[in-house]
Amino acid sequence: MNALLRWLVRLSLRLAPARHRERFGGELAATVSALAGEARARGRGVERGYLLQELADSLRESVRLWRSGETSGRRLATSLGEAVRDDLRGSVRRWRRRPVATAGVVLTLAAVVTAVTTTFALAHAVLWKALPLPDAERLVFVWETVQDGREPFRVTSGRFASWQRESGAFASLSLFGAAGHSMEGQDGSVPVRGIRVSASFFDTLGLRPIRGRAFGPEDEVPGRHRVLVISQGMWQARFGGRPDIVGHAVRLSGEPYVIVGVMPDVVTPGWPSNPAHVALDRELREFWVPIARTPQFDANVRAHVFGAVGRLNEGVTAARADAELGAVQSAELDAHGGMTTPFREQFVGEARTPLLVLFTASLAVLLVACANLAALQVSLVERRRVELSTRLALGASRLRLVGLLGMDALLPAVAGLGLGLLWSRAALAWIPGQLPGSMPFVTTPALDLTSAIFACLVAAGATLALSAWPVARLRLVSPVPRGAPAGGRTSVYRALVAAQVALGVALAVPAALLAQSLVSLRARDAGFVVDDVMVADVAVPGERASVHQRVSAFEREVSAALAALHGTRGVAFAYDHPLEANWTQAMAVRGDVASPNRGDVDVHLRIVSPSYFDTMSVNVLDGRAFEEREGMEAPGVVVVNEAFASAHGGRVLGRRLESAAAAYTWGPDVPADYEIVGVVENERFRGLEQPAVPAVYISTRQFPLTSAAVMVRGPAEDHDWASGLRGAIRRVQPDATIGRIVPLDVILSEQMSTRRVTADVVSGFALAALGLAALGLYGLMAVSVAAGAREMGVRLALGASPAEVARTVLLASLGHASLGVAVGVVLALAFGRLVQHLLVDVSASDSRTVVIVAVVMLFAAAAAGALPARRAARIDPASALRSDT
Amino acid sequence: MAPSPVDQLPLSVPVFHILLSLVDEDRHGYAIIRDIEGRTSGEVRLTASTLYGAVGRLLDARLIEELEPEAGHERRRLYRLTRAGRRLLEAEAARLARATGWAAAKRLLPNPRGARP
Repeated sequence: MNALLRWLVRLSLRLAPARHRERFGGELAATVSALAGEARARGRGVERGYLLQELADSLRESVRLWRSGETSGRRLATSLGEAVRDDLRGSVRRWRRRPVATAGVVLTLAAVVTAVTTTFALAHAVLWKALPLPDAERLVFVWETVQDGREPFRVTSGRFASWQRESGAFASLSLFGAAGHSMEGQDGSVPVRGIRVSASFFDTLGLRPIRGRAFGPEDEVPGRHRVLVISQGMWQARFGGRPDIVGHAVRLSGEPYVIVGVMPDVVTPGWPSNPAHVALDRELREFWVPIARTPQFDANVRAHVFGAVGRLNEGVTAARADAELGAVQSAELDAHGGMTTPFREQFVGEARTPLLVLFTASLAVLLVACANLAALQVSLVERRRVELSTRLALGASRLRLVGLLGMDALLPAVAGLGLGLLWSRAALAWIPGQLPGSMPFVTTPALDLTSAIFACLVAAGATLALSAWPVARLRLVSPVPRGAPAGGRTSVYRALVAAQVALGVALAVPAALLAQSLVSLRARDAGFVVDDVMVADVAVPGERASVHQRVSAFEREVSAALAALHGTRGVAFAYDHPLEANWTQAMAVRGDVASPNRGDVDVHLRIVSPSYFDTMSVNVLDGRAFEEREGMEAPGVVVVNEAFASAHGGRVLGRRLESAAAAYTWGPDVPADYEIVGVVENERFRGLEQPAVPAVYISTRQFPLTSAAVMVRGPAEDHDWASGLRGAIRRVQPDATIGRIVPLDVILSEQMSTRRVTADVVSGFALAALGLAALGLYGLMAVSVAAGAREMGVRLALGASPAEVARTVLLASLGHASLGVAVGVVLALAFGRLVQHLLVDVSASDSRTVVIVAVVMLFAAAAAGALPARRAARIDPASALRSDT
Repeated sequence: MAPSPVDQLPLSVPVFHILLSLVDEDRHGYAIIRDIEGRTSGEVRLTASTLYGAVGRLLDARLIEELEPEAGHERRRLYRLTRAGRRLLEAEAARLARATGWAAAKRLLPNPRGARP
């Protein structure tokens, strides 16, 4: 942003009259850079303020200097002003004479300006716009790594404590983790999701509360930690923005808390998950609670549940911080190291490609539209040749004619720009709501200054594109009007049309590939049946260890109550539903020497009720599922998935598994040692795009959950049924916490929505580009038939059949198109590299797709040539020969 | 040819401050900006464009003059207040003082001498 402003200031200094520039130019520039340097030292905002002021003053002084210049200067300005006014009037007159063409040109320009500006603003908001946090480039996420350099994963509190003690790379380092609670509301108890953080969290980010205070070191003291900072969103939504919010008491999972502050709605890390992922969803960061720092907490090096965010010291590079994190070792720690990820990169991740694809695709459409309109201008300027010649003969300078032609392009471009800006603003207000919550809008997309300047540059580019050809043709205009000059016209016209075809093909190929990927992804076997399943988060109050009997009873009673509802075909409980499966756990296979890391393997841990596999239609492949009677007293049993089995040599029934964390965090009554009793087919966790990963299932009868996802298979999309579900749970347990009831297929389609939107929008762009290209081909053929009427007349008179003449025209149309298709295929291969990451089960250079697109384009070319060909066949030789053009 | 000083009053804020900066010392452009900013504690900050626009007009009106460049600093030109410039500045200062006096008489300002009316 500031770089752009600096450039604009430099540019504006050149606008002053030559006398002023010769007098002060060097000094002026030197002073500007000195002042800018000073302002920069005081902050980016200060520098921006200064540059904007300098820009305004420089423009004002230029106007003043030009006005007060010598009389000759004044006369020049006046005559220039009059000339511009004249040209403007003439141009308006010409455009008004052809309202349909004018509307077509303006609307096309408006549409492409909207497309390009909107996709730019979206990409800008995610990828480039400065974050609303001070010195955000010094912020990094910190993750643990195994010394042999596998993927990063979550941090333990013990590791964090040692980093905090011993690493000198950070000005501030903070811990954050998931905090799921229930909160009393008008709707009974509802689940709320927030973040538990170390006290320095907001300081690290540089975030200041809009009400009350942030956390201080005293809030980490056990017993004094029941304080709460809420988000602006929660303040508005749950507390109606009440002014006396600070000091307000609330109950979180039954415990009393006091709200001490409200944080502005700014991007902050949400729930951390493995491998090294941080959610950005608003609903995962409704509030923050401090972590109570006990000695046990600071020594825990087993529970990998946290994320860490740090602010690097001035001048410290990420590489140095990584090296230092690796060097922090101590006797009680294992051989884990650490690594940093840049703050923005952590969020942006996989969103980069779709955004760049959309932006590039919109640029391609812009180019097609410009080529199309430029070709249109050619025919218009040909019609004006006589007028231009006359003007030259009457003494107008060629420069004057350039202005005249430029005005013809500028007018529709400005109208298109205005309309495009309005549409972009509307689009940007609407689109973000249509995208999934996981779309990493680290800043809010809006039609801001940068996007508006970008739109203006696009319009300026369009003006140039539209006027370049007519202006270049001016050298052929002479004061004495003559017949149409030979050559030149058709070759450039043809090149413009071929370029449209090429870009259309280059866009259509990746669009087809993305659409195919979407289809193959939808057809993928999830390993469970997605349709007709409702999911809701439910929780019963109390600590699990003390109430596991009650929890199991709750599960059974709710299952029975729900099963009694009309239409229910199955009820299951699980720690989370498969599309959100979020628990990775180190487990040791006993006697397994092949697995790395001292026998521990990371697996997806799924805690599911015995009815889960039936309800979700997950097939048991070997052995058996859980049984209802296998409770806390029975020996521990687990079911594993196919991926786990094949990672351990296939025959796993009867082998034993140990949980590394059981005794430590799961409670004493949960078994630590399990026998593998069954193998089930792979479920795809967290969406269909993910590969199947090893998973281990434990029964809720042996690992009771106070908070779980309940999944009910029943009639789809039935609202009465959903409220019946809520009522049934409340009848069993009046104080149960019940979250939103959502169909599983809706969650799945939300997960795929970025991909779907990308595929749809690129397809739309491709269709528009192909349509414009076909229109361009039609225009070219129509013009060449009109221009070649005499020649065709001669051929017809000499005995050629109308069919032959028509065939010549059709073949010419196909010829122009084939050139474009050939170039387009090459371009498509280049564009294919950009979409490669988004493709599923299809290669970026899939020859079948390329051939189909090429054939479709050639058909379109034949269709575009058909009408002109018919016209050519019907030329009356006699009248064609008589005409004198 | 140059108009009488009184016709040019009141002076614009940038012109007034530029002339004031040159009363006790000859300065180059950047130093003038810094001097004004320092004297007014940041209340008046000129941009380079405003400064050189005004300097151009002041040179043309012979209210300031340009000195020969210092050795080694050819790009930095020093400016000096001319006698006409000084007279104009004095006239403006007197005009401002009268204006302030009138405002004080209406008790808009504390009396500059501390005397009670």
